[in-house]
Amino acid sequence: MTAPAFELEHIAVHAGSRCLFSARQLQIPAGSLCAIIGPNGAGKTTLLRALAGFHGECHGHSLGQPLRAGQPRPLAWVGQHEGADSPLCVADYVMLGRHPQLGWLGRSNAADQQAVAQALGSMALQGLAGQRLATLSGGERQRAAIARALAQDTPLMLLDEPCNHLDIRHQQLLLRQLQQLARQGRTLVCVLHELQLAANYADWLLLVADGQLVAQGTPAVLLHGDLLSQVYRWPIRAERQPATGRWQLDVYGHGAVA
Amino acid sequence: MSSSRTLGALPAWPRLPGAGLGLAALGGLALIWLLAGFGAGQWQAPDWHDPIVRQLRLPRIANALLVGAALAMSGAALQALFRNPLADPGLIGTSSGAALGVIAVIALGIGGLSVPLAAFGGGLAVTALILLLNRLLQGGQAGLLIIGVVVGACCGAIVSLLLFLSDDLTLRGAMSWLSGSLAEARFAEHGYVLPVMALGAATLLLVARDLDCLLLGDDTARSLGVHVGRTRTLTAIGAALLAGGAVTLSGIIGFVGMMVPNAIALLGGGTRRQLMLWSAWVGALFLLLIDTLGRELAYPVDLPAGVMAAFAGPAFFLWLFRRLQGGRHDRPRL
Repeated sequence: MTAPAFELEHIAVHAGSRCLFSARQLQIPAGSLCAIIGPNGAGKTTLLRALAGFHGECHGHSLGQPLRAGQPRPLAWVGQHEGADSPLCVADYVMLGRHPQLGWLGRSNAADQQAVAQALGSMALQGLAGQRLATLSGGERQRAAIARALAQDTPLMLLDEPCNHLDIRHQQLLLRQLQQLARQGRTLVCVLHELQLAANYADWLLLVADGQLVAQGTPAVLLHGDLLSQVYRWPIRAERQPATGRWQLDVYGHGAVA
Repeated sequence: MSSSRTLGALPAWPRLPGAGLGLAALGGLALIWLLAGFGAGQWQAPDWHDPIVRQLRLPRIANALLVGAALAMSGAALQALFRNPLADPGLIGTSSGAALGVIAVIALGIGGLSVPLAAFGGGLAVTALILLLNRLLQGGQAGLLIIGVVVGACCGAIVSLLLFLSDDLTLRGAMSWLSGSLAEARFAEHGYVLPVMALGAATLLLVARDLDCLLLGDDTARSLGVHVGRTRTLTAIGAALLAGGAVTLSGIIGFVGMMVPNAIALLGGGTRRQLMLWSAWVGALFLLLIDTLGRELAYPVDLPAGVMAAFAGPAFFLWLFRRLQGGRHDRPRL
């Protein structure tokens, strides 16, 4: 059995004396698409950045290896609005994913070029390779960012709100692509605002609120109206359609849950 | 942007078509030859044996090319460092720091080698101060630019104070130097300024790829193995060495560092290394062009290149901006 992507016993992120996030135990299975969900200001991005090793403390293992502070983790990070102001063309941008492998002069070899071509192909971006990043639509730019992360060729990919500013169609297409990458063996952890998307695409969910990890597990285990209503402070009904197997999340009522 | 509108789309450096590069080099050399022929309000094919051309015009041409290249390359790096297209060695205090060093030396009546040393020292010290203050105040990217402008303004104020306190002769010498004139060029000066500038340029070219990553955000850069702090420091040092060299040779010439890299980015984009190299080449030719215009337009009055840049620069940029804007909702990119 593959070691979990993350198996952590203690996570803590502080800003001065203030605790931004803490969790005692957290697990993310390898080869899964994991979504971090929770209300605004709950600490979703804080947790994602802690998993990446950008801040705070994390004790435990990642893919069977003990985590050490200050040591780079084998992961690709996709931030929000990446490359919106970049003068790079798509191919050069995706080549940045090979930056850790390139030497001082930044010369790419055949393996790097093949990795870039593959990444462009898997995100259906071959036709846009020579286009400037700044001229792409939001959806295309997000795909380019994921291609850049794919070219990095790491087992872990962390994405901060990848569906932000995407329309319904592009949200669905993007998550379908992320799901496909998880099926190929990569572990993807992303912050998602849309509960419906998280419920239907993620294999594993981390529910956070007020700087704490409230619950973790598969959608079937975690998606209960009571729990969600309590965390989001609004009445929410979660049902799985028996015919399609898809989750239906409804917001109902007129008032906030105390 | 359609590809037909780009500078051959400036593809990745190793794939750069030799024809484009050769054309740029030939065009540039032809422009240098053409501009070298202007003198005393008229043009004639430059005679390289003529002592006027050899001893006066050529050093001045070399000066313009070096200063233009240094300012534009420094600007291309600083715009990535500050993630702001307005960043320019003149704006964020690097040039002001170098100028403060030189004015202090002039006011004290020391000459010779102390002038370039004071320029490099001043530029580096001010850049270090900006980085240190930003770290102490945890200002982040926006803080860096604001602190840069504030420190630059402080340097300007100290320069004014020094000028106010100095005697008439010093004031005249300092003012003519401050206005950004390329006229007092000597090859001897280039001998000791050039190695320092080359060191600055090499530093910037080495961190150029890290700067490409840094433009995607600190977190993404870190995940790509970039040492964010080290890259910022090296970029600041490289830009300060180039700007310090430019200030030593010509005083303060504004706008070139801001305008040329933006024009290149608007026209074609590319990696930071490409932007730096193209900016250096175009910046060199541009400064030579406006210096020649300043020399010839109001002959026998020799207008300083700094004044010409302040007039020509913004107008050129507005024209380019309007032309490329042409109904598109595109902005100047970093």
